[in-house]
Amino acid sequence: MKSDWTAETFAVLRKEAITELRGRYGLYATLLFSVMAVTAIGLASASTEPSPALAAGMFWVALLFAAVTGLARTFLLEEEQGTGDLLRLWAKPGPVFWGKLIYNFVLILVVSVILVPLFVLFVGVSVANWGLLVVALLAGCAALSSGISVCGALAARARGRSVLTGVLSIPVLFSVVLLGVGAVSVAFGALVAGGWPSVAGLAGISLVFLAAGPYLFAGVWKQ
Amino acid sequence: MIWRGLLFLAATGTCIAYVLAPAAQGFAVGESARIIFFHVPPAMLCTLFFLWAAVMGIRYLLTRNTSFDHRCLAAVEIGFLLCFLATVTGMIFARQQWGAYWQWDARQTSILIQLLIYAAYFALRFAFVSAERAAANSAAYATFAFLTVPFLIWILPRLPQIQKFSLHGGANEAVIGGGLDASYRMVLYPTLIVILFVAAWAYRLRVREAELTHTLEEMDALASSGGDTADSRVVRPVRIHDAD
Repeated sequence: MKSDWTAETFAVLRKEAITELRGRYGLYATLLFSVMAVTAIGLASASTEPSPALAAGMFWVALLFAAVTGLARTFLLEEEQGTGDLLRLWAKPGPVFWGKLIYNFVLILVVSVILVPLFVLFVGVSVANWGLLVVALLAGCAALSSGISVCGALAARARGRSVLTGVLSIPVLFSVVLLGVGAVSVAFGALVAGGWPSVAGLAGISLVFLAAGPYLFAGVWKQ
Repeated sequence: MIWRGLLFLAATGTCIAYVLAPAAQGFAVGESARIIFFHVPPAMLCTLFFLWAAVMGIRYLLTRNTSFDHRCLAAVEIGFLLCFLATVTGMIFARQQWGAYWQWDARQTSILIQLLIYAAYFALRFAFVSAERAAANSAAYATFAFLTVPFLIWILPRLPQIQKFSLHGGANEAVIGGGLDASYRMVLYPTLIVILFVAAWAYRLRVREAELTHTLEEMDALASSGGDTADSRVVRPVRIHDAD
């Protein structure tokens, strides 16, 4: 039974990866969005050197909007292409949720790994604490991917689903962004305490989202 | 009927006590501190209603009983109204005390985020054609949204980098931990109870209204489908006469 569950999860993950490789739309659009966000931020702050706290804020705003743009697609596309009903017949809700969540986590982690050097190069920030930055990004990406996966699933069969996903997920993820800014500002060299407590908060919110997400998803997926 | 009279008397007493409470010390405008009687209770009670909405949302997802959906919706509506009242009274007090309506203080930020989260609940609810799907998805969202509330209320305002810029200071700890002056405690706690009862009454009325509307819609659907008598639905065999 457990192996069935794992096999189904990896089958969903594989399906997402193959769909991505065939189209290359999601990763390409999300990455391009991130580059454009950094360009816009760099242009806006060209005459000044942003403080670590401001740079961390801009970093998380870019990451949040890249996530909202890119991650919800995994659920929205199923309904737009009419493949959602087939997936409902074929797989149990748990593996569908985890398969798509893992795919989303990898996608946003790739985006965040690309965003960091872009920020260093174009915005002029320097990383003072790499360990804190890496752990904050791992925990933050887990929270972003789980939050957007749940909100994307809730909005997938609604009218105006693309806009609605942003409307649902952005306020829910504000607490993630605030905690992330707290951690990343310290990693960028802000001389304040609270870097690791913010990471603990991020890890806590990720665990809460990951624990509740599959049950809530199961409650709406097969309806 | 008696309890409504008692509630009216208690509400009247609260209003009189509001006027009679002395001006607070240690504030820029001591008279304006009285607004906490109508600011703190809604801020505390909105969280209680959002918790109740999450509980009702879980019960709806487990049972699919529409009664729990009506309770979830009513709790979000009353909680949202209380949250809005806490925000507005807080803004008025901030203008008097800190010189501007909005300062991005940790508590102001967290209550604004709560308002946005539950405003999104209504956007989701109105985005479905099917009533069952609207009920299930909004119940799941009410539950999911509440998961962020403990982080917004207890964790974020206590982070060192956010606490540094907090204008509320130890105000919340003073209210909860009994650090208020006795004359203020004597007004604040009864006001909290009165507002709780008024909100619970409004919640009960809203649930009854939603259940009556649901029953009427079901009766209307039944009437438009031709009633539930057997002869309109049963197809009987008919004899077809051969043409001569």
